[in-house]
Amino acid sequence: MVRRKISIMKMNLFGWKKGRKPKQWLSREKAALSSIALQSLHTSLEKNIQDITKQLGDNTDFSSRHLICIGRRVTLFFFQSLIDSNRLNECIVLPLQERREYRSKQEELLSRENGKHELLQEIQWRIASMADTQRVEEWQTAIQQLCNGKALLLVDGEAAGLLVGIEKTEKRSIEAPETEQSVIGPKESFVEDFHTNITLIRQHLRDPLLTFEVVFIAKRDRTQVGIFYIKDVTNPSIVKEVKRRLSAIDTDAIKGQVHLQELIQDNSFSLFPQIRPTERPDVTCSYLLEGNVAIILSNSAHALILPITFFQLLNTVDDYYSSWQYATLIRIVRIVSLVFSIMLPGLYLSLVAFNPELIPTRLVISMDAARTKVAMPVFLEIFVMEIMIEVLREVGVKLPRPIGQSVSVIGGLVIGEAAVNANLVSPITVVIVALTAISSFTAPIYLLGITYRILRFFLFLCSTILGLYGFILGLFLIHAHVARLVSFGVPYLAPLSPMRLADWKDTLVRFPFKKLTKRPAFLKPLQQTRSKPLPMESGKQSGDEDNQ
Amino acid sequence: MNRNEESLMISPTQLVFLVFGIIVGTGFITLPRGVIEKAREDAWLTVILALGIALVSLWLILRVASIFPKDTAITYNVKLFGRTFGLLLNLFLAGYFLFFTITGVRTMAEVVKTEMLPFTPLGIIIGSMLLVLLYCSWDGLMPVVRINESGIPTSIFMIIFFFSLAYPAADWHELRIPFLEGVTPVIQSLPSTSYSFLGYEILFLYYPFIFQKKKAYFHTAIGIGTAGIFYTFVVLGTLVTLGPNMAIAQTYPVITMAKIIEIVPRFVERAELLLIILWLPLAYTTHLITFFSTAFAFNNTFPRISLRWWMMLSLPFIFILSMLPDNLMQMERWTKVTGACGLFLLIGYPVLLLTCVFVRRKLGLLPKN
Repeated sequence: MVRRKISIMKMNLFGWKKGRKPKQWLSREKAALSSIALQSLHTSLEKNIQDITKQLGDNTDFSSRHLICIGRRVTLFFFQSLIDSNRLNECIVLPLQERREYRSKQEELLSRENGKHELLQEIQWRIASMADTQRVEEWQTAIQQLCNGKALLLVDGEAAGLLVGIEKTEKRSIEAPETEQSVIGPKESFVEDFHTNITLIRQHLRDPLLTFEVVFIAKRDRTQVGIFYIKDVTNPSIVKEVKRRLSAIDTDAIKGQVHLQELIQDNSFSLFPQIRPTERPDVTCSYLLEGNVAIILSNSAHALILPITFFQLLNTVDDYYSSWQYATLIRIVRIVSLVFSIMLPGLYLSLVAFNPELIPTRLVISMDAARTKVAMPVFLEIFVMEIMIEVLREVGVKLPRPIGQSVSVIGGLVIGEAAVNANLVSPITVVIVALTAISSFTAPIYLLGITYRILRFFLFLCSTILGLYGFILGLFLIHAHVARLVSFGVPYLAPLSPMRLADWKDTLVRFPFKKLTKRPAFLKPLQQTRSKPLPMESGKQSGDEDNQ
Repeated sequence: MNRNEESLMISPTQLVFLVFGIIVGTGFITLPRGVIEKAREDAWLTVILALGIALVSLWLILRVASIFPKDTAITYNVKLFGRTFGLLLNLFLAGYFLFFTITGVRTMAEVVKTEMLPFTPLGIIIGSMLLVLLYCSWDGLMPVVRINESGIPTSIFMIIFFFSLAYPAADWHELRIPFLEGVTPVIQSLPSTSYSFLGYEILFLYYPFIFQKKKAYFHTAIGIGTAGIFYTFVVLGTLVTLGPNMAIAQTYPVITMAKIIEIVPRFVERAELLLIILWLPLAYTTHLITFFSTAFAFNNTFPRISLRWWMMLSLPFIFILSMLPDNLMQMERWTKVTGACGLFLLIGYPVLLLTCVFVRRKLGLLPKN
């Protein structure tokens, strides 16, 4: 009976679709194919030139250089726009030109085209040794790397080529993070350059067991994706699953981290992010130390942390850079504002329109007095104000920064004041809507803020239809949705469900670091203990042993 | 690690909350009147006695289930009673959960209609709840278990907090020496009280998925015990705040009791509405588990139709049948019949199974373990 657990979940009346394959994107285990055919290089230089010109010759910025090295013909191919021409000259062209003729007996041997094919090795080891080189024997890798900004060097008479790394690196400098600001913590964030991001992570976490693997995904773009994890901490099943999902991606190109996030997360229809993007190297490293996996993507200034749970999303970087009492207080404030920003309009509507008897008498009298001149029904009133707030927020984002901020501030003030004076809305509605909007800014990550906004409209709709009962049903739906979510095998509501009290030390409250000796158990790390308690009195030994 | 491939494992904490979640539901609102009507001041004793009976029958259920640790009742019914009789028993089990859901949903809808939405048709209240149930149980057993585990602690905490506000208004003179009128009234009200403890027969279905089977009795007993204490707390509260005469005159004494609560003087006018809001999650978890169990039992009986289809198919039945009773009195009759079936499942059925196992072993048809 237990074995049938998979089949019982399928939407399968009378077993009609018995032979149907499971979800395609998950089951596709094969590595994504490249758009270039797999074909090996030819020994004849002419034939190779012909092949590559056929593939890339239409590009105006595709160029070649023909040289002679130790008496043999050598051709260099590269994209003018992707390479650094100074480095091209310094690393390849000049050293090759210096060795036009052979100087020794041994070099004489190399000059013979029908001799041993060793000239390429000679170039790799002695002549072009100033740049990083890689030997290739087939066109797929060669052309792919050409598109990454490398130069391809072909020698007449050898069925192999040499890729020389002389790519141009355009990158901005490391700046302070914009969305995850910290008052006390370090002020550096990821940039769009892949290698800089790797450096940043390695600099923050100098652990020799910090493992970094690269996979190439997307068949046209061949985007570089780096997977970071700590070998003796992270659960290997999570790493394996991440790699499997990445290798199963079969798409043209990856456009940013949200694209990748949607492709690999468990439930792409969910409003709740199951992967946490972060622009801070220190946050990435602290998650790595807990047993999570981090993914970095070329051309993206964010790292993706996975698996993630709901309560982990509510933590911010400042929780760990301030005292534990303050961190706990601010976490509770964050939960309260989460409740405010999701529930307030719906609750207000259902109380005012359906069950006013739950509002304190004095308040209901003053509210009614303020509402007597308002013509619109309550739900329309709140809805109009909510839409106004959303419009103003969008304006603040879209307009150039100095104008945008002032327009949204002035717009908010003027519209709020004028709407109340014109008896379009009651003052308390303005208070409710403003409080809601402000509360939603406490969302620790931007994506979660969007979730709050959409859920607020959902609950508002539920209350419009069925009042307080509808509001509660809406809450049930949201709760059930969150309880259903699983992120890479970890239930989204952990450590609340599955319940584990030890993990609560760093969930709603933050205990002092001295007490945070264990890693979160829901990630099933290989090593549970992360620190041993500090012996305060000399001679007193700590009793805690490593679970491992 | 696809969501659907998630392993079905109910941890000890989850088991406690699952059992608590299914037991405490509509009984919470309807129990005090039924008990106080017969046992009067001794009502709270009846609740404790019913708890004792529940623990005995739990032992019986687990005794049977442990003989077949990898099978649900659906499978061993057929093994023990043969194909035809086994199938009938399976249908009885699935039908029982179906009617459990129907009566529960209808009772909840009645309370919601009288207290919260007086002008909304009953069909809409029931229909919307059923759609929510369908969504919540769509992904199988583990999400249902997790919903219970994460939702119940908060609502229990809030309800207890709420009731502790009622206790200052208590008149402890309403209580008297136990068994003053003899044991008979206490015993007489036992069956109707036991209805409120119904629910842990889901172990017939979910025993194979329990993680620590050896300690299953202990953990389930904690769940039932907590529910029993909670009920005693409620009945005692009703008794000391309203008094037996007042309590039996009310349809839902618990709600009347909430009316005397003033959280902060002159702050909330209708505290009973607050109680209903706090009670709704408990009712919902009960419906959720019974609804899921209905589909699960049907699916195990007829595995050709998948679980999700059984959910979809049972939905219109639950809707139509729950709309059939004209009034509360008729509903009460339905509840009593369902409750009687439940009592059979709790005591008669495990005894029947044990006897059958015994006979089959004697005849050498079933291997001894």
